[in-house]
Amino acid sequence: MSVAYRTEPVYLLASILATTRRYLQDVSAYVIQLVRWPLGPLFMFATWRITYSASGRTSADGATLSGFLLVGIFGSILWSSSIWGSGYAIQNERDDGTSGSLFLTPVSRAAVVAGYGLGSFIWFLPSFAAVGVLGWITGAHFAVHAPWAVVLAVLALCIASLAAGFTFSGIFILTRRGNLVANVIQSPIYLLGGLMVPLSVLPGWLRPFSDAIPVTHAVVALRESTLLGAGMGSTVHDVALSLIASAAWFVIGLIGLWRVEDVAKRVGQLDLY
Amino acid sequence: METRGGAIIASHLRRVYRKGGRLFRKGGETVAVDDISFQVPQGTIFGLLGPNGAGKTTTIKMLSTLLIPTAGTATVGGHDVVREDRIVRRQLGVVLGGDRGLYAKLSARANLVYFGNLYGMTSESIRRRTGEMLELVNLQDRADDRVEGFSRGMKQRLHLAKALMHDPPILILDEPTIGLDPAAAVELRRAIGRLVPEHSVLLTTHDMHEADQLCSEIAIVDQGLIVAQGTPDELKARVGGNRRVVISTQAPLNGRLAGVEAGLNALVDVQRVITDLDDVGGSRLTVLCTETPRALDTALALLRATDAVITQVQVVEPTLEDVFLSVAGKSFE
Amino acid sequence: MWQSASVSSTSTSRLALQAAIASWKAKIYEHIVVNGLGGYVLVWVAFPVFTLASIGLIYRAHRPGLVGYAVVAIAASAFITNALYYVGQLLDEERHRGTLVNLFLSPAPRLSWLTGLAFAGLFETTVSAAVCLLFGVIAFGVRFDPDLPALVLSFVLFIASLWGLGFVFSAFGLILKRSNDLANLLSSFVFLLGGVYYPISLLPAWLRYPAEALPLGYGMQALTQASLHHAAIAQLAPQLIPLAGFALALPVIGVLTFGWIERKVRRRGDLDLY
Ligand SMILES: Nc1ncnc2c1ncn2[C@@H]1O[C@H](COP(=O)(O)OP(=O)(O)OP(=O)(O)O)[C@@H](O)[C@H]1O
Ligand SMILES: [Mg+2]
Repeated sequence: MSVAYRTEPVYLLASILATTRRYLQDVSAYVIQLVRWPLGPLFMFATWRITYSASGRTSADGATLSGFLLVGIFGSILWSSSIWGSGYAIQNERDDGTSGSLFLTPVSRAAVVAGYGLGSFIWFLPSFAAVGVLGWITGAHFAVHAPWAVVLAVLALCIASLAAGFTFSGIFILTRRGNLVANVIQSPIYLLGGLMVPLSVLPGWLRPFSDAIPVTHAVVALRESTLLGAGMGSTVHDVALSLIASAAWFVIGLIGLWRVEDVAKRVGQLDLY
Repeated sequence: METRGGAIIASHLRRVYRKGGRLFRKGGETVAVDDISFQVPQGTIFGLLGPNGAGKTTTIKMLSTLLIPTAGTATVGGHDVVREDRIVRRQLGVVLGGDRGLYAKLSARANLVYFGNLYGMTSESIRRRTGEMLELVNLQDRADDRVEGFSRGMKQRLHLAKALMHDPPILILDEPTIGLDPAAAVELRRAIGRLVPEHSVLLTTHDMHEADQLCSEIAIVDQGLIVAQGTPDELKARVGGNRRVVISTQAPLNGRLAGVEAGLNALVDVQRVITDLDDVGGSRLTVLCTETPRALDTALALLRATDAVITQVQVVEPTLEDVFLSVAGKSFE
Repeated sequence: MWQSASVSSTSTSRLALQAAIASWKAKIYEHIVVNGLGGYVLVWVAFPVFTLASIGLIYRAHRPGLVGYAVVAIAASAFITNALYYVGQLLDEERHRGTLVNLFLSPAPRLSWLTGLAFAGLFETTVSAAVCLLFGVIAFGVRFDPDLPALVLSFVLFIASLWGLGFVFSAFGLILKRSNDLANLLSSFVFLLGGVYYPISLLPAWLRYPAEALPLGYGMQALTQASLHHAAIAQLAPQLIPLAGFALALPVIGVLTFGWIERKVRRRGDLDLY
């Protein structure tokens, strides 16, 4: 009796889901992972909230401080889940010594990366819950006029984060210091992506950099639709900008992934196998 | 199908590693594989034999799509390993072995299920094959334990199960029995022996015995080149001088030996006859020959005719180790 | 025959020094040669600058006085990051590479190779902190008025207590594994209570008590006062005295914790598991 194979689309989907499942089995094996994700955002919120109080500001880009920060933290959790999930996928396989086995299989490398992304998103659900609780406790003022605009903005933010994850998954390996780079890019994104800092305080010459980051526009869309009662019209505009930037990042990411395997196979010295 | 010629065909493979080059310093080069060509015929086991650092693993990595050759080409199942890497991967089961390469936090079963998915198998196939494979490598009892707690031998067996999971027609095994206890090694060799003729197998090993027993053809690799190739018997025939019959008698035969010597020297198979005394004072007759049976038969007959009491008979066939020593001029380990 | 005398053995202190120097060299080599000087140092150095820019921009409009504090404190926080992500992860990293077992097998005192490894990170961190200070001067026009003896003393005590903390983390990383995730969690905690973005005196009362139980707030206060406001040692006594206590106690606690955890891990038998 020989082995039966799936058709190509089913194969792709099944390998994504199998990787997601494996990712979850893997992370749940560590105690630290169980506490880290719900606690992290709480500490982070408190730190920034106190910083803002110390700065003498009472609002940020028109929203209340708590509201502004909650949306920013929501975005940063998505970002982290993407960077440490899909972004770190290949690096993780290398660290665990399984990249050789993985690359021996015919599976689509993008499917594996996507599987990590999905798994990590699920793993981060407690963090999102923690943010929700914070919103409730701090009494952040929300003003939603167009619920669909919020949904759209959240989707754009997810896509933007995933795009970043894809882009970095290759870069992490090529730089050989994935962990460090993943940590290091966090602060520029908090600043340039307008996650924790109002875009209005940035000097003008930094704006083009901000605009090139897909997360920037998605966060603006989410803030305006949840905190300032923006309608569909302005949200669609920002979401569109975000999607354009995301598309560009995805392309860079796919090239990067291809490069990694190519370089590894040619040089044979990336310790990839 | 164009695969009739050979399941695996390597043609002038060469692989150079650059090492240590950084910033302003130009690194040197290591020629891991110099120029290697061979064919693994359909349904046979082909062995690559050679000392540490000979380039066996590098060859295997090139054949299994993990490494791009610096020069030369190779096909697996008729498909080019560089241009058609995805098709090659589907047809290929590889054991790279060692402690790594398995998901440590996952159970043996979960590992097999995951790899099944990565190879695109249907859930039904995955379920069935997982059970079959665990049984094949005798890990049913530990199927649901995490791999991190496995012994080296258990991991090695799981590696093999993983490689066979998607029932590939072609297998590449890098030192499959490394780290196994003798009983487990025998068991695994039997399992590998049963893989043919349905599968074609390329394996590397340091174990001469294993190569002799399993492989229908062997290539001896040294410093990135094939220094000898053929069936185990052909290879051993090259060092025919090592074939000898040694017979000891209870008491010294002295004058009676001349007739025996003359009789043996008359045979075409016999190259030389040496007589001396053994450690316990009897006579010892050593016959260097190309075929042992006739020499043995004749020697015994002639000796009996002299009424000698024979205490010990030894037939020494050449081993692959002799072959290796004679072609590479150095010993293993 | 094997002769035990054929390898001349050294005294324990010589061995400790030798192990520390060898580890230090190995680490430096790994970082600068293996990782490539250019990209690595650039990336490492850039790390706190963006954080500093964020915080500085937030303060600039209404509380320009806090910008100077943030510049010095964030520069100093590079050493905290070093203690957490670097010293704290050393052991786990070695385990990941499978070399931890060999370090443990060696007869050298644990503290010696740990210190050697930790020293290697100090160089990069110092560069990083210097870049931060320079950025503060250029971007925010911060002016320094340092009191050197006070600054040096504060710095030494600050580093000593950080390393103590790092060793404690390192030991816990050994038992929890995934020390990187531990470092991430701890760093969010330390940045909240360590007086990095704001002096701990600005914390709400209920957060100030736990903050005062950590050495970081005192260190930051001493460093900023000594570098920006020419505060002398005597003036800084309220900060330097508790800081000195931490600087003496934490390394000892670190070593004790380490020994305790090592035994625990050996009993549990997962020294080389990952
Ligand atoms: N990634 C690499 N970078 C640089 N040199 C390498 C690399 N991999 C292997 N080599 C070198 O290539 C040569 C052949 O190594 P290879 O692993 O193929 O030998 P092998 O025959 O498998 O040996 P063993 O029997 O010890 O497994 C060696 O000199 C080795 O140092
Ligand atoms: Mg090898």
